[in-house]
Amino acid sequence: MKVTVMRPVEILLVEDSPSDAELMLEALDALQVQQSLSIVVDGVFAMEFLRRQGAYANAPRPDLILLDLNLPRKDGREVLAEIKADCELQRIPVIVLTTSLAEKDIQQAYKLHTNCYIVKPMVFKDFLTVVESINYFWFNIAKLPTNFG
Amino acid sequence: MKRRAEEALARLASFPQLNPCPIVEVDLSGEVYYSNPAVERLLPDLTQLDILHPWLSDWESVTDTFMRNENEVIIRDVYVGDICYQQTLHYRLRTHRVRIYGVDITQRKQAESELERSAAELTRSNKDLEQFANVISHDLQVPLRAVVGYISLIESQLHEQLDEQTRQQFEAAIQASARMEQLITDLLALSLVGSQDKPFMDTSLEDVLERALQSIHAIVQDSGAKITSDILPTLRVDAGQLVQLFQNLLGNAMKFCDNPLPEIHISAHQQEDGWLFRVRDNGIGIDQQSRERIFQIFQRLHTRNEYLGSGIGLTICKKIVDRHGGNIWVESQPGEGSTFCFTIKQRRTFLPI
Repeated sequence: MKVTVMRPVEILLVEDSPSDAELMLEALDALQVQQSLSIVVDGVFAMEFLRRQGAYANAPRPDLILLDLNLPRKDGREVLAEIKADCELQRIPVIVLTTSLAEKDIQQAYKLHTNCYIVKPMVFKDFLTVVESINYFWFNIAKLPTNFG
Repeated sequence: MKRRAEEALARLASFPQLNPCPIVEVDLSGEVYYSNPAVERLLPDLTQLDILHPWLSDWESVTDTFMRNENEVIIRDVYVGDICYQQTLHYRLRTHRVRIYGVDITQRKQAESELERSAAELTRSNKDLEQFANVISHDLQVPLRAVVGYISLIESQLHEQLDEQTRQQFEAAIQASARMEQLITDLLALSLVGSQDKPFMDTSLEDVLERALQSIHAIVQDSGAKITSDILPTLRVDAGQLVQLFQNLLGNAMKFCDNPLPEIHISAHQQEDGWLFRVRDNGIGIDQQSRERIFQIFQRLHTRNEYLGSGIGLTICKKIVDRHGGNIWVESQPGEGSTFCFTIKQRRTFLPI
């Protein structure tokens, strides 16, 4: 049976840098990924979005979360820990997408059960390659759980 | 016979009389029975209260101690005015009196507190510096990333419409920014050597080398380098820092190489107080004047067109080796490759496994 995602994939991008968010949008556009990208700029908004609180009461449940680590208000590490401790949210794959090359951050992110850790490239061409790989692997190779509530 | 005894007595009595340190004898109620001339000379205005003042708050516990065990000796540092005395208290059961011997240790105390103060100051300023470097590195990276991100985005969107010269100019701007990014990343790594130190643990350097090779896998493949190693020991070290050390030294060995067949060998030699490691390459080598200079920050021997780099890598190596109580140096002849040597101090050593 061929697995086809009929609706556009829902991606939540947690990113405080406007330029990196824009690169992500441009990359998805350039790759013509059928997606709906939501962007929140800090960890507090991320948790509100995921728990459908406040302004995010009607937020879609994402198929994939792209999470920066260094965020204002609530750190990406805290967001990751909360997602993975929440039985409603823990099934959603989280890809840590950060500038940090620090071994400490990599170790910690995997200890907190990140599904993948990627160092954000700086140059658009490399960024494209990363986004293309994410799209190819997570939405074409990997089989994701479906029955999100 | 009697005269002899008297003479001996007088001789003995002269000891406390001539002793330059104050000596006092008091009974358990605190009344002074004897004080030597040093007390008068050093503390002319001293009253009975002054002598006991430092002890008054817990004189009871002092007497209690002597009641429990008359052989107990109590030693404490007490201040009489600005002067600090180390007082030694002896109890004499026969007379029920306490002898207090004082030694002026004011200078030592001052030196100690001065030392403590400057150590604390040093720790603080080191911390500040590390935090500063950390913040600067992060805060510099954010705008730089935005610049590179947008330039490269614009370039890729306009790519088809650009002539070759403009493409090259875009490429140069991106390359320059990438170098700056490397510089900031290395500065960050340097600042972290001080602030993220891990405790020393028994670590197999075989594993350390494997981890280092893993992380520079791509460079090793590109250079086609043949890397060999002696059997490496298990030592008590900061594993993460040793990985970084090997990574930097191996990275340099491959980077500064014009030999079509780069060969690198790591050897390990046990010494009296630790281990000596030698990382030998067959690269371009380093002339004599430059051998000290390369371990200082931002010292580069080559123009950027010849060899890329920030000039921070070896400074990081030196910091790591310093922390492990060792030395780092290089032996080399231009054109005949270099051997980077470093020592790691160890109290106890393990046989290679």
